[in-house]
Amino acid sequence: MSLILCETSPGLRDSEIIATVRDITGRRHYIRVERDFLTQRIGKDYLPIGIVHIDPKTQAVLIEFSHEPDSGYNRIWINQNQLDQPVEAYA
Amino acid sequence: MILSDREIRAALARGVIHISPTPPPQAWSSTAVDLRLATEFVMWKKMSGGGAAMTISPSSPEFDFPALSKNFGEQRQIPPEGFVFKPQTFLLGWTIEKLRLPFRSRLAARVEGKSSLARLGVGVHVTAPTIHAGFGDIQANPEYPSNPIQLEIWNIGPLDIVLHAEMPICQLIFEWVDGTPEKGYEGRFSVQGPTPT
Repeated sequence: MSLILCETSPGLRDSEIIATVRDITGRRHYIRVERDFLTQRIGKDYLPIGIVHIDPKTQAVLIEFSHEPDSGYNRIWINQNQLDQPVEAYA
Repeated sequence: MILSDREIRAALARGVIHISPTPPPQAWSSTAVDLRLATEFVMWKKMSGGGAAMTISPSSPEFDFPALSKNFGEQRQIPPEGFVFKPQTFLLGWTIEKLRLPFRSRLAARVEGKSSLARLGVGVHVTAPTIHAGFGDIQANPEYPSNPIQLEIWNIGPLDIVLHAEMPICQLIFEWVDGTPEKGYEGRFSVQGPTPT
């Protein structure tokens, strides 16, 4: 279980928020969640995600969202520095 | 394998499924649990009229859902007398109940319509019923009540259908996942990632 840095904007209803996560190419992926689904740390918002794989060569991280974002991609590659804490690469 | 009502209750007791609030006894059937419709819903406003025609390209990297939501999503409430759901219309609704499937639950779920509504032409999803393990899960906070299920509700019948808040709107079916998902396992598999930019 990890957290990924995200930007936020208002959701479709008051209790909801749109979290925006950028993949490794810079493309934005929007996922709508309840506001309290996000974790706030030092004024920044983080989205819970699952880590699937870490590329040992590039250190890119394949993550999976808790549900399908509006881009349709359940899994995206991200840079490790987007996570709240680094994860160890598999040897 | 689909879980029976007893297996669903056992999974709730073990904490591998969380539904909040707990469905009442009348919400259960032998292999499913009914969920209720929340008061809030959203309708998309029509884009036609006046200016140039607009199109939406959700697969485009330029697709901006927050802008779409802000400009065309109309948030509404079901009034006490009910909302008249016109034929050939579509809305986004939510369940009152919130669902959490922990990453390691090895359970997935499907949200499906109710035959009583289907016979009138009302559906509750647009071919997207699957709820994966990890839905609504925050491992660091096991008490988190989690997320409601968003429903894509359509009326393809010829009749005006009155929707009431708290009416049974859909049913949830749980299935065992054969094996451990990679996400929950956080294991490795043979893929190579893209080069970071």
